[in-house]
Amino acid sequence: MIRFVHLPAIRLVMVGMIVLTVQTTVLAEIRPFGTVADIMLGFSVAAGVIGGPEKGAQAGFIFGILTDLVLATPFGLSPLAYGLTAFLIGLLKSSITQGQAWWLTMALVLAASFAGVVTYNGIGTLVGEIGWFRWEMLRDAAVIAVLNALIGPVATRIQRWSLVLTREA
Amino acid sequence: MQFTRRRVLALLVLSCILLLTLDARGSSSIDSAKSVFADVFSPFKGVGRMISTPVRNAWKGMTDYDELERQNDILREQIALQEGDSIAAQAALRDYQELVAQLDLPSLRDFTNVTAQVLSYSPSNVQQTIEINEGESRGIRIGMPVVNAAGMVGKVVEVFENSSLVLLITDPSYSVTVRIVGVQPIPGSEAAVPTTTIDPAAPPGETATATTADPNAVGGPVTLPAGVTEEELLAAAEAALVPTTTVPPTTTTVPRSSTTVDFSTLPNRERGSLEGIGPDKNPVVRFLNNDNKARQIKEGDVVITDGGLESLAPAGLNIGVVGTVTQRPGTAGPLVEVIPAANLQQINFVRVIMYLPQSEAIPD
Repeated sequence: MIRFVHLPAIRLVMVGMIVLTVQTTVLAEIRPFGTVADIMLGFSVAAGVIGGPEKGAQAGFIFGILTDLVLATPFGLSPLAYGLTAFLIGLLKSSITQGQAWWLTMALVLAASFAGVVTYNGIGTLVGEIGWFRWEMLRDAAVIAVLNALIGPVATRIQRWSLVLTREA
Repeated sequence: MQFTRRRVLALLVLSCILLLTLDARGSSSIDSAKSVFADVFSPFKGVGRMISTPVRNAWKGMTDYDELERQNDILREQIALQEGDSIAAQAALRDYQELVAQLDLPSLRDFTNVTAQVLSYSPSNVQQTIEINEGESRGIRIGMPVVNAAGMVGKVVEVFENSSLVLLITDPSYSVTVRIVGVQPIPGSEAAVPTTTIDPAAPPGETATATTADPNAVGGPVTLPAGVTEEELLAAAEAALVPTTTVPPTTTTVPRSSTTVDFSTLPNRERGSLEGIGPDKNPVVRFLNNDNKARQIKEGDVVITDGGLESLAPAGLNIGVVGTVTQRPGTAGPLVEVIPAANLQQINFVRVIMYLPQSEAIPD
């Protein structure tokens, strides 16, 4: 039984449930600049930054599924957007550096979060959702990016544990 | 390595497309999964809400103090106004109930409702929803309209065993047919439409009879002037039943003993489609027919649901008042901004009306 806890997928679900609880209770009501923070996206891209594209895609998929289970949006949209973003940021990071400096983590999470929000809204519009691609989306993306960048160093540490990575990985 | 990455990417994209397709086709397995997860996740949310309450309160204390003070002042003023309004409204309500009972007309009271508490707001920026603590076990179904004491809030879009998700009227995917009822007379219409008096003391048999014999009769039976139908009179009265916030202040001058209905204040009404346009923005009404009357809509006019077989809500639910009217050139017609009567940023309790729109009914 205890062996299951060492599986990355199980750990990701466990962490995802806790993060989703924070997302739906605290962050749904605390809205800086009128924007709901999206730490599910933040943790997904943090996994991409720390674990590379494959691990990022895996984390993004699981966190996205958990998110869609509590939303009334098209099911499959969040895993696609989160997974793609985490995959791409992991690919970008592994191609430019192997470093893990805190400022680099923050910068990458900032950029990826902004791109993730735009990707999410863009795919949502493609599948027929009305009014998602609007100017306010850029404000939301900017706020989410900054907040996710702030939690980036902590999120990457947690995701390192989730993905069962060593320091050198 | 490259092959693995491509395979992972392809697997991710194809899995998500499969899920999107299943959801778009209305797969029951996804609904079941959501329902099971709602039950599993419920204790997490309960604990999370309990732990986070001090954090949320502290945040609200820091950010909303000035706003709360301002709201407090406004609310005191509103209470003073409504104390006067409620007296006139009670008289009008009594008359209305008599009319509905005697004419055997459909009423909002025909529908039972379930009171629910709001558990949380949407954790997303793209969809305006609230979660309520009543669900399928209380008879709530997808599509049912949701109101609070002030007016329309939205409609049920997801139902679980003991909770539901309600789509707010500000969401871009929300749309409902509405009527805009003028509360100000159209210039020049006073002379054309006679003033009619309803005497609540008249015997029931006489009151129930609608005639057009003598438009100037005082204290006689209900007289409908030319151009004003019984349905329109009912809609106006229905609008007064649900909310109290939109009763114009002038109604306080109506004498308690005899309620006078001046039909010249009612002819301006127009049908349209109310659509949400996103968070922090008021919904707008687009008109189905861009005729001359649509151009006479003014700020303060009352917006109520239109009803009908295909409508998402029964007739007469209050939505709000007209905020601004933007005249557009050509055949586009005016764009009417509606200020919702319900404060959608702070909802604590709602009522789900047990009205199932035909469009949401599950075929046998």
